[in-house]
Amino acid sequence: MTTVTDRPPDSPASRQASRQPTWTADQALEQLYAAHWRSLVRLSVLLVRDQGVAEEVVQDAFVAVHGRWGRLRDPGRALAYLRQTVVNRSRSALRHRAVVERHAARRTPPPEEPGADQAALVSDRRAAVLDALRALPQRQREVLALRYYLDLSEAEISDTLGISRGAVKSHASRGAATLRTLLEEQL
Amino acid sequence: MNDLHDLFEDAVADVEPADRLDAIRCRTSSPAQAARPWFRAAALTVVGTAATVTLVAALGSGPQPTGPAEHGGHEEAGHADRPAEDDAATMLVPAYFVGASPNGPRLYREFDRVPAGDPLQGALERIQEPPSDPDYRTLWAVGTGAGLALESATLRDTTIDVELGPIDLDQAAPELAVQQVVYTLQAAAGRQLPVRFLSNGRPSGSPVDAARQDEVLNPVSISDPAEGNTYAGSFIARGRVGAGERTVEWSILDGPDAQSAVARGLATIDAGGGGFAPWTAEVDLSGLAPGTYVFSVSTADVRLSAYGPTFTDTRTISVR
Repeated sequence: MTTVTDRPPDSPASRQASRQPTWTADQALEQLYAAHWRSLVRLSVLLVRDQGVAEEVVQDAFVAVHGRWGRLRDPGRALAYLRQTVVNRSRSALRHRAVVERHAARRTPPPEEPGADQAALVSDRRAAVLDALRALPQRQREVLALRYYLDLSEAEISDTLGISRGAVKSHASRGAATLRTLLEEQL
Repeated sequence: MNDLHDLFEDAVADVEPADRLDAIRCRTSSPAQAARPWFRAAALTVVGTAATVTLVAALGSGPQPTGPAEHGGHEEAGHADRPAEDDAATMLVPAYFVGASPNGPRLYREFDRVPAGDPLQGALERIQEPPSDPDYRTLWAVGTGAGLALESATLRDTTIDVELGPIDLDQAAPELAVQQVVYTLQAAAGRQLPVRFLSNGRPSGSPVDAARQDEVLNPVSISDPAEGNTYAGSFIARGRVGAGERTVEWSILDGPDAQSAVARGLATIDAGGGGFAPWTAEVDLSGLAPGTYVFSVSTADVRLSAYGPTFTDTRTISVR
């Protein structure tokens, strides 16, 4: 299995550090999409629970990053901006209860592999984790998703959420403690 | 603390988001960035060959595919490297067309430039005209005088509604033709809503969901380049490949029947989940004489092809 590189198409990796990337906004968008679309939607699902809402949130974030490419000009910064936008928009989506309700009413596609009992167990476990996350205060949920799903450092989380490192640390420890209690059976 | 990491990974492991690159590209395509000279050329071709193309109005007696052979003149015009003028009045829409595959007819996607306006309506009208790629065809051929078979598309809360022209959907449309509409409109809307067909405002049958990708899409497809694009030096090719396919090999074909490969390589697949995955390839054109070539991708390494059928998609490109 291979992955799409973050390397600008016309810049050898060895010279990448010393050269301005020459991606256009369209190229940047497509590279970021190829590499991060799925994981950002999954991140948003951890935050908002609903896949339809998550896809719309992340789609909007990609449109936003494209419009901002002239100022970002760097795949790393663009990814940071994407993450931040996804978290912020996921938060707004939750605030708009109407949106959430409308999508909750939408039918979800049938599971692809109905593997009887085993599948039911797995899907119960997944639902339990998502329910537990929803039960947490918003900041704790965001910190935990960035920390344990995207594996971001404290500094990166602090930048993404615009809060101090101390706050990241305290949200992380309190959130993790609550989550462990809620998910005792799963852990 | 790995337990939480594993739990979070697992909690969303079955989330396989729909491909929304089409919708994103449509929303981000500004006239300056998305100037695609080939569209203007293709549009002219449609006009120019209208007299010789047999436009099929006979949807009522079963859709008659307009085969590539009927679109004489497409190739030359498609390669014209004209400067784009007046692109502010146009937009890009995703449009699915039908092409051959070892598994029978399958859907392939183009991004086509149409007059600016409502993306849903633009996409609906686009699939009732001949595709840019002469290897494809539409199952919704342009009617002569009878009007459009698919008149209008409207985004509702829970459906995408399509008002039918003077046709009987049950008789007219095989499953794949219906899916051509569903895939195109869902892509244009950026939402996976079922498509409801209406006749004189009344529903004609139940709303139709998208069929599984592996049942209707060709296992490999090219999103870029578009048919007839011109390049110098190198370009980035992109597309999608089915979950079961492990290799995408690209080649540049030359010769009278595009039989001999003058360059080839492997695309990078962003695998990792179920469903279709994006692939990309950096195609180096240095050393190729200016002229017309065929860019081809296939799912199996042709040098080792022992297993199963090989699926391909092709585009004609020009090298400056």
